[in-house]
Amino acid sequence: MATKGPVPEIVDPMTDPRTGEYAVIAPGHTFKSVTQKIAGIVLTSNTPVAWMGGLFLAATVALGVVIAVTWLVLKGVGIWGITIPGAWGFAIINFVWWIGIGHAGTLISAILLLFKQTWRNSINRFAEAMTIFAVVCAGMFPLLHIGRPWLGYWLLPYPNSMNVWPQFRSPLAWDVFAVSTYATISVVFWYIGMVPDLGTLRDRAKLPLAKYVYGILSLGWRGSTRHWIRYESASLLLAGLSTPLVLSVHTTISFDFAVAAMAGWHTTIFPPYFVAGAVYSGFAMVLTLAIPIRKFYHLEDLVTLRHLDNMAKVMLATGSIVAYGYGMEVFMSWYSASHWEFFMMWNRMFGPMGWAYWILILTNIAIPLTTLWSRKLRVNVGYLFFLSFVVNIGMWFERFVIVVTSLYRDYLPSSWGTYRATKWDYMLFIGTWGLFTTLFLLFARLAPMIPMSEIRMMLPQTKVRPGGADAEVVTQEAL
Amino acid sequence: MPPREGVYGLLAEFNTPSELVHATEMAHRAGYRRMECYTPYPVEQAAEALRFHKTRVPLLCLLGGLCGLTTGALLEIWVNVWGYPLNIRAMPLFFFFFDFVCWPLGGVWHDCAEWIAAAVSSAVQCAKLCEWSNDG
Repeated sequence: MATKGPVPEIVDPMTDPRTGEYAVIAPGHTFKSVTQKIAGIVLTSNTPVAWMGGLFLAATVALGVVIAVTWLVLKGVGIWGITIPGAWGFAIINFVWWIGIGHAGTLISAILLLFKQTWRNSINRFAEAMTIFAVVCAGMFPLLHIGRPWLGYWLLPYPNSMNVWPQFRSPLAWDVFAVSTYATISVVFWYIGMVPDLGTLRDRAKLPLAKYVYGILSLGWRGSTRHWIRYESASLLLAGLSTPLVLSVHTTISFDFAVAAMAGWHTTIFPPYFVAGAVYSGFAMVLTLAIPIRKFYHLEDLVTLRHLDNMAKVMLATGSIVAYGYGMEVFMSWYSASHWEFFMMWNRMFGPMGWAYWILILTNIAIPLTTLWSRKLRVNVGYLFFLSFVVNIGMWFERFVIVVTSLYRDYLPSSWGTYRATKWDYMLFIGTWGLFTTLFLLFARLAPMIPMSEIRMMLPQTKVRPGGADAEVVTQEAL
Repeated sequence: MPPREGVYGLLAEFNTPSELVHATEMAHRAGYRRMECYTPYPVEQAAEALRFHKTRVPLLCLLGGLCGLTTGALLEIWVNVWGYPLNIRAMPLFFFFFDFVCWPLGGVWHDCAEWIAAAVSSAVQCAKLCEWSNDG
């Protein structure tokens, strides 16, 4: 460049001039402004019309679940497209997909807490909520798939007159415990994390009912130092307990496949590849939720471009692991020299359902992994929103390809069939989107979406200076 | 009940965490012990100034975890070995325990465990076969 003299520096308030990194939260916030902003969303008496409309729409779609489940209970799983050999169908595809989505919430709340990634503070609460609602949607599918959901308690070990117990050496039994543990820990972690904020809401609420309900839920929180120390150590312990779950839940689910002696399933790469795929789709879903929410509630100061950039980077990393997994699957089907494996891969790519494989490669690998390297695109909100849908479609097709293309061309050509989902399959699946959105909208209206106490901790005013000597300066900053 | 005579307690408000921590430290040095700080977010230094930075939460958590682990393991052992033993591809009855320990570690370890279990179980079966052939 031939320009001479000092180059005029572009001052972007959202970037740190020393590092050029985006700020985690916008400058100029005080304890009061953070609390007002977040608590205001919940405590306002004016429910936004768009929220009402969204809830109405989501609840209408969620009615699909009610109708589909009612008909299923009346008629049996025959109304679904499952057959022999394609016995797993949509139910298992959707189960794995929803559970996978939940994984990002646990990764954000547990692993990033242990690694002291403070940027997670802005997004952890609604990512955890997303986890819980995704597990709600996921848990429904295997329970319905067993055919007689009212006998679902048979999955649990309890003394009964038939003297029958679960078979603890089967991965399907581990699933029951993996998913129920996951649901329990996620709810406990989410709720414990919310207690100080519920205390804030109780103190600020005007309506007697709100005061009463938040008062009960806040468990007598007073914000004393003793409370905080116990709270902090409980959070750390819960993070420690959740951390293995990020890896183990989807590992166990991958065993449902990997333990079966089925071409395309019986492989040791499944656990890491499932976990990476889960985190990949989970971060995509966090973006799907975070982008409209920060726009709608004007939370751009708290959920900044830095968050979106970081999440896109996590997607790039996990997406690359997934791409490696796909590559390895293809390589191993050749290198194993197994006729069955080779046929499975050929059929997966060029068989009657080959289109699904190429959609998967396009949406999971080709589009995201070529574009996410560019920082410009990583902070382009519209593009990320689009990409989050693309990746979630891709991850759904991944499970579709795994479940369907291995099953419908099994070892015995005389038993080959095909798989066609019925309208009830679609109704239940689309209904769960409605259920998920309904639960999320209720959460956004009734609970603090962003942890106030953790955001307060990130403000520069919280720094304790020795001796309280320069307190005057800080007072000026705080006010 | 008549109101209590004299000073019940003292309350002070501070604008910054630095002032709060400083005042707490000073009060502690002056010999005050029954104190508490109230903050809108955790202030570790305040806890140190109060000399309250160790809790029994981790101990309780460990005890709870150990209870759960023991109960779960005993339940599984009882169900699989005594209550309802099933012969699944000749795997040892305590086989689940390998998985129980190994599943977080991923498929490779699972396979190692399976090989060990298979080796043990085939050794046991060989021994049994030998016994039977000796009997015959």
